[in-house]
Amino acid sequence: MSEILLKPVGFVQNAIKEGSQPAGKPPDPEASPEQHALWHERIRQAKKARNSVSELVIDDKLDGILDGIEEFSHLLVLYWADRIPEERRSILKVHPMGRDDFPLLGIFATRSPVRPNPILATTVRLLERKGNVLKVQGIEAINGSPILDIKPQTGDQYDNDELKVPDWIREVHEASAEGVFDE
Amino acid sequence: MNDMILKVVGVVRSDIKKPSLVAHSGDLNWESKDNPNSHSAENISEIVIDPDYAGILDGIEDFSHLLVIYWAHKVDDLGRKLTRAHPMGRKDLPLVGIFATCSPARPNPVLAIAVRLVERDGYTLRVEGLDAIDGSPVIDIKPYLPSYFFSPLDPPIMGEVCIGGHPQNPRQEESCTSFRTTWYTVLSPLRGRELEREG
Repeated sequence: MSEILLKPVGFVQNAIKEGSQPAGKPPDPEASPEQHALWHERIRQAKKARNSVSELVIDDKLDGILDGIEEFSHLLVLYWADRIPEERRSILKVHPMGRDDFPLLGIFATRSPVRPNPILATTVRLLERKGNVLKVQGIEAINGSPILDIKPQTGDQYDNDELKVPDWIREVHEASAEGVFDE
Repeated sequence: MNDMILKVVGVVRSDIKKPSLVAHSGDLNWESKDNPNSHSAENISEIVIDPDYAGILDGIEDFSHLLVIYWAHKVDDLGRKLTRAHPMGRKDLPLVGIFATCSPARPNPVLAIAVRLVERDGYTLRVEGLDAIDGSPVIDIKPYLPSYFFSPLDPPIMGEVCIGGHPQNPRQEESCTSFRTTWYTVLSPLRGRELEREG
């Protein structure tokens, strides 16, 4: 098959300069209180980023491609994690969150942004459309990330009760900005 | 920025041999005739991962459901230039932007769908509910997570992602509802339930 080349259809515009999710184990609060506080501050920032407002600026040459999108309250945004260095795309296994106390897993068993094709998928709430700009909440893409696609987001396909996940992922999520983290 | 070049990590093996919804003369056409293996939510397909990616599936069998991202390889350059279409090729519905539809023809025909993992056998995943046609290149697989893993402030809905063009698949119709009143209503017999939830 010939090479498959993606083209950006737009870019994310926001105040997020870098991925703020800290990797590794949280520092011991007794032994290194400062490091511990810093770690928590970064978690707080990551969480804030997740709930901040971004603009999706769509290429205005794609005439009419957003028409009717304002009828939807939620969208699925596919974007390219362009800060992932090319050589890291060949990594096949990781410890979730860089923590060696979690099992070493295949990339496809994780939501790591480092993957053979760093296409990240996030559900966002559509706040407003102004011409070729969508104001959305809930995307933690870094400023300038190329957007690949936008799709209407849909109702739940599967009930939560139906879904089975391994125990480690609960721990990962409790320790991350995505989880219900006690601030 | 580096070019965004996709790596094909695997391929779909399915009884679905032809796409039903295709771009034609600047719109979408529903071509289900001569396509007896139409899509069903119970359809079992295989995803065969390239052995060069050995290890990339390790641990995946602990999840019951996956999000599969694949390339709609039958969409040609003209299909990628489509910016507006009638949803599902139905001329009685309004002409809308491609990003407001589930069309497989889009600037980047990267399609995503949640499936149930039936079984893993080495490099092969047997899955239920995949709508990709036979031979589709697979580009990513992610765990499909319950919505309670997401932020409590604004829990996003990790629902099925809209996939192009399978109105005969009841689950597909269900997926093509929004949380506001839209023209999608006509595509969804389950719309009443959605409205109830909106309260």
